[in-house]
Amino acid sequence: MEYLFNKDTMNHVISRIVVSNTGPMISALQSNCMHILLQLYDRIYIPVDEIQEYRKHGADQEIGKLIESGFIVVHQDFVPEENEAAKVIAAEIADHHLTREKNPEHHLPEAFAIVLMLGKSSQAVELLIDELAARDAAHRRKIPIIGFPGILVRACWQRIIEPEDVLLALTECQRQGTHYSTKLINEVYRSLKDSSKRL
Amino acid sequence: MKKKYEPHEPDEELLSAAEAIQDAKNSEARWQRFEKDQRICRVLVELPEPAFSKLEKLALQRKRTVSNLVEEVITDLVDTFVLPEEKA
Repeated sequence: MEYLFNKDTMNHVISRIVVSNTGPMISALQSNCMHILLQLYDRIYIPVDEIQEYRKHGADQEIGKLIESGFIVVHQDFVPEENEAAKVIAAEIADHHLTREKNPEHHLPEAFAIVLMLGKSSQAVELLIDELAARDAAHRRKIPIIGFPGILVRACWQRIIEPEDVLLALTECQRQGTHYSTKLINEVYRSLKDSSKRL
Repeated sequence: MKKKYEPHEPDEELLSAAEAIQDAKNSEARWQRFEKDQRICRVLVELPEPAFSKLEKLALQRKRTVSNLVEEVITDLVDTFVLPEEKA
C-alpha cells in the first residue's frame, strides 16, 4: 500500500483546514473525542502561544503527538503587523463585558488564533472557539466559527456518533471542570434526540 | 484510569445550546459549499471495529487522517480501474 502515499497521489488530496483555540482541543481530549476532529478535519493550525496553555492543562504530550503526526500545525512566524493586531484583539476580548479575566496578555492565544484566520494566505474554513467574548471578537471580523458542542452536533448529524455520545462527551467535559452548563448539555441532547426521531 | 485535563478558562462564559446548534448549521453549510467548490461528494463509510481503529492508527503513523486515507484509496481505485475502461 506504500504507493498510495507518494507525492503524485497526495496532489489530489483535499485538505479540510481549520484554526483552533485551546478550549475545543482540551474538550476533545477531556471527552476522548479527538477521533471526531480527525474525521472532520485534515489539519488544524494553532498559534504558538497556545502551546504553553496545553502544557498548563496537562495535555502537552497528546498535543505533541498530534503535532508530530502533522494533524496539528503550530504557526509561530507572525509578522510585526500581526503581533500588533493580536494585541488589539486581546485588549478587546479583555475589555468585553462577558470577560472575567481582564488582563489582555491572558487572551493573546485566542487573539492570535483570530489573526491566523484573518491571514490572506489562510485556507482555514472555520475557527474552533468556545469563549463568548472571543467568539464576539471573531464574529465582528466576519470569521466563521464553531464551538466544541457544535462540532459534536455536526458529528451526530453525520452519524459519526449518537446523541447519547454527545451527552456523555459534554457531561465528561463538565465533570472535568469545563464550563458547559447542564442546560446547554440537556438542550443539545434533546434537540438531537428530537431530530433523530424525525429521520 | 482515564486521564483528566485541567479545564480551559473555567471562569469565562461559554456558548448556549441555541448557539451550538446554530454553529453546527452554519458549519455544515460552509463545508457543503467547500465540497461543491472542490467538486467533491461526501460518502458515508461505516467500518466495523477493529478496522476503524487500525485505520486511525495507520493514518496517524502516515501523517494522514482517516478521511484522507479513504479518499486516497478510493481515488486510486477509480484511477486504476474505472478510468482505463472509460478510455477504451
